[in-house]
Amino acid sequence: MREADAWGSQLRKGVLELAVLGLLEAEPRYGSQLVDDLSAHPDLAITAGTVYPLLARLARAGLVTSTWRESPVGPPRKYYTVTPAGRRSLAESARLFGSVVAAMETILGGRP
Amino acid sequence: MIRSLDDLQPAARAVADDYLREAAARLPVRQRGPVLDDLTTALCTRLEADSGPAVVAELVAEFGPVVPAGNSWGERLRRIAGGLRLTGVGERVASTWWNPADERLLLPRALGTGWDLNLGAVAVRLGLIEPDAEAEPFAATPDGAFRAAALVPTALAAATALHYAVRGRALPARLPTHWTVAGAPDRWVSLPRAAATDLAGTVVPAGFALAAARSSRPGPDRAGTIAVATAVGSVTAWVAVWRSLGDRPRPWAGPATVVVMTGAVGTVLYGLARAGRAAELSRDLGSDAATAPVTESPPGFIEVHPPFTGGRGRG
Repeated sequence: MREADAWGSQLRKGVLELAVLGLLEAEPRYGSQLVDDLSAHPDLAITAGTVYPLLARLARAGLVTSTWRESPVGPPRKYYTVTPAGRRSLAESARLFGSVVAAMETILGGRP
Repeated sequence: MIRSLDDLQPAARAVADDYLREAAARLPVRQRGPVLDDLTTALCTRLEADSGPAVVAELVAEFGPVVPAGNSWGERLRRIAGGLRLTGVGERVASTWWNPADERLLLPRALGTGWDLNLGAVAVRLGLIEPDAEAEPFAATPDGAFRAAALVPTALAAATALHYAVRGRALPARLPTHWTVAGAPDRWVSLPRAAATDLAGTVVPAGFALAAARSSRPGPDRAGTIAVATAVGSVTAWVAVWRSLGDRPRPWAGPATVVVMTGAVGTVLYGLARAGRAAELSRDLGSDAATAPVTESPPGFIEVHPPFTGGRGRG
């Protein structure tokens, strides 16, 4: 059981970057908004302690960029947007992910 | 941090394996085991499970190629210099002492082994700054803020000089230079020697800080240099005060040294980070926004997202 948990954790970590890029491609978001949006998917739920280092890494890699924007309910917030390089990376990763999912569905059949 | 390179994704693991294989090929058999162990530990310390191949490549480029150890004096000296990696210390110190995006309070030391306190994570937990207040810490901090920050070690040097100028004649002919754990002095030096040591220990760092503030080096490098200068200057200035307190044991004085240094360095780095945040806000929203608070919405507003406290920062 513990091995299955560890494997699940690694699987989630592996797709997290893809999930964040996907959300940011849909619309610019700020850090805690990403945490909230991902928490709607329990298997992808993360904390602020995970999302900010991830955003910093994506920014260093040139896949996202950030801009401060006024907020109607408090101090300004920093919004993250996918760069053209980020879109290319997302497209490639999404294609690969789709292939893997299709292959696994073929292998595992109709197993729940 | 990961426990093993097995935690990496296959593509990232391949980059790490290539680096270790190349290192092994360069090393004599007797050095291979311990060096590869050290490299693997260093990689695991600096990487996360979701680190991509580009991140691993960046890290191994930072480590540089592995050179077999020789035994001549020249080779030994080169190894010592390489181990200390004095180049880029400022930048490494800044990224270790101030990394608000990383919630860990203790990070592997910028220089040597052990752990450094991540003051950026402390500031986030206290609600003083957002984890992502700056795209890259200190990269957008304006020149004026660096010059202002360099005034801290400069003021410490001036205060130390003033201390000996004003109180010098009233001080005893010999002053403590070493204390026991209980804060009781157990070694002494002459007053002129103590004064010369304390002045050098504050004036030299102040010089480095002023030079960094006026340089055109990258912001993180300048911030790290000023932080180190502030750390050395504040400890030395505090020791100058401690020496003048007499020979009675003062158990609180040793821990106070750490508090003084941490407070001084934290204030400097926080000020520089706030200046960088203000510069980013001004760039994106106009100069009126530069002083935007970090605090939560004013009373009466409905908060729609988790508040920015206790490490659960908001962007």
